[in-house]
Amino acid sequence: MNNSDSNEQQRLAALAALHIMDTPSEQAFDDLTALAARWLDTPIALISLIDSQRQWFKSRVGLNTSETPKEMAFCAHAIRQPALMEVADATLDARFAGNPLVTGDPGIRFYAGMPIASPQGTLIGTLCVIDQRPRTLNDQQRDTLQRLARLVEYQLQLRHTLLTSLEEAHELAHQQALNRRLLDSLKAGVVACADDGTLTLFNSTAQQWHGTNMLNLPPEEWARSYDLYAADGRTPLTTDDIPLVRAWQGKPVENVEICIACADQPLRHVLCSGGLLYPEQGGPGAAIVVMHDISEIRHASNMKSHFLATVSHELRTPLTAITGAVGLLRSGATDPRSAAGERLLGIAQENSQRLNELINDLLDMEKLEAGKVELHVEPLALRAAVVQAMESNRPYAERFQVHWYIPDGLSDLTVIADRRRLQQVLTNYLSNAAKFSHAGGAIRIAWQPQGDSVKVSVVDQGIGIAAEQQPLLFNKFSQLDTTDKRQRGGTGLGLAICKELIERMGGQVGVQSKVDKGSCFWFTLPRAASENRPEQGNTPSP
Amino acid sequence: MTGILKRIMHIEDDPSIQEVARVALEVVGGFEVRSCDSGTEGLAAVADFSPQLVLLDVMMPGMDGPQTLTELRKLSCMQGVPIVFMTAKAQTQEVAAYRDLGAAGVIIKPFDPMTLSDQIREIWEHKHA
Repeated sequence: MNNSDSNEQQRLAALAALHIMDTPSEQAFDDLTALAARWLDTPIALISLIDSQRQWFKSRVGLNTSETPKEMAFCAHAIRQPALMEVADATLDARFAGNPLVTGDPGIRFYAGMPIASPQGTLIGTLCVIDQRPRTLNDQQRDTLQRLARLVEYQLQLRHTLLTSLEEAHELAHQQALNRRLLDSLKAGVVACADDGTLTLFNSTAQQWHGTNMLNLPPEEWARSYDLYAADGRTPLTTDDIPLVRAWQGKPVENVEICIACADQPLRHVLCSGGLLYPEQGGPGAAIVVMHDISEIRHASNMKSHFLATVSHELRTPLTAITGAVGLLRSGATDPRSAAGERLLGIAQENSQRLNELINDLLDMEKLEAGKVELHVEPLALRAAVVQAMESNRPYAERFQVHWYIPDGLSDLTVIADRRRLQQVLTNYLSNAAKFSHAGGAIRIAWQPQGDSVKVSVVDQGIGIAAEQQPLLFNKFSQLDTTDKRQRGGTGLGLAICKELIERMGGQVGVQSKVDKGSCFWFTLPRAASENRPEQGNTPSP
Repeated sequence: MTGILKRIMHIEDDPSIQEVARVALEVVGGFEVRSCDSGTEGLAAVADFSPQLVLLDVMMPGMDGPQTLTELRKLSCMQGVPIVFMTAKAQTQEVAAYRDLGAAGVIIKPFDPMTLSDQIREIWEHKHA
């Protein structure tokens, strides 16, 4: 590409950058052509822009057409140099004498065109005046044309700047909207403030957690208004401890835990990190803090701590009895051969067994919860299983002076269950019933079909359980396991283990009870598919 | 309440621990001991037994140790009677909480039956120093 070609490419690029070709007329430009025609007393005045193929008129007075081919354009000659081009009589100018615009309509004789430049300085067109009679301009008129051409250039520049600004504003708005969307899509809460401490941002998550959008309040009122607490969930946060305040002050904020309280939401533990938006300026200044909800982690951690504390206590209780009893015997404070000594030995032995049972239950519970217990389910005759449980737990019945029985006329049913684990559940239910019963009491074990299941009930007439405690019964370490002195010896996990086992075998557990009226502890198990015997189960009731 | 410590009420729901503590306090310590299975039973018995010191388990079903202490303090016959908690749950902050409730002392389980009486005497003497 030679120099003139590359110049032309530059010129065309500058013209294209103005985004002006083929746009509607604009008052500012029309005013200038009107003034040119009036002040220079010409019938025709044009703002002409030259592209690669044509000249196109952004503004025109006295001419019907909006463009002509470039080869006909007087202005294409004019823009070859920056000075005013004047043609007194086109018919006498070899360049234009044969031009269709001279020989035909509009019959140009006189032409004066002042080149106009783009903001980059390339000549893109002209402000020109045309007459159909030969003439010349005087100096004042030439000056006028030049000044008007400069005004056209100013107008082009203004227009370009405005368009660019509008584009940038649009892009900015789009970017801001995108940023906002990004912030609101975050699961983390984001809050920010300006230099003066005014809150500038609560993203959607922060609004939800605080139950409100940001309020126009000074930092001293944030802790109270947004209900903020220290990690313990109880101590109200001081202003200086609020993570955003610290960030605003230029202090480091990394993994700081606080709590947010909000009506209708559980207390929320959040981990905060943040800092100044412009750290190079130092604080106090605009700052931002990101908060991650760690409530579940904290809850799980608390539950684990609580569980460990409870287990430790449960283990220490029989240990206390053992160490105490053995200590007394070894010291000689009590003669092992005396009645008191015998009792102490019994205590040591009993509590050792209790400790062992507790540890076994703990391990059992852990295996069940981890899904590591393998159950071998098979069809089992219920009557035989119940009878076996009654027999193997006879010492319990004797100890608590109760007797258990199966009602007459109860037909046998077949359940699908793990043989050993069914015994475990029956044993637990029978031993509980014995502990809850009064001396001499009767405990009834019965069963009945219930759709695809069989419901087995163990009913006692003992002390019963208060309504508000019943929902907690099958929880781990339920206090209810230790309501009565005689129930000591339970691990607090028995019913929780029963629940896990029965549910894993496809059944459910439950209890019905009234204080002083007794209890009915029940469980269901899937019934074996093939059942040919007629059913005549009694309906047990507490 | 001054003088020598003689009568101790022990409120503890676990029968094994109750038995061991009773032997430790009676045989080793030479105290007269009244054992109660629950806070309720203890509250009913204080007027009659007039303990000089109450040894109180913390974790009990129904009315727990702290609740029992609160109720005991309401009784005129219990004014000035030191109440000592006995518990397996005794982390630092818990012990501080027990003292804030008004406990004269805290004995940690498992306890040494041979030194239990000494520990109690020490608490008694400190109270009357």
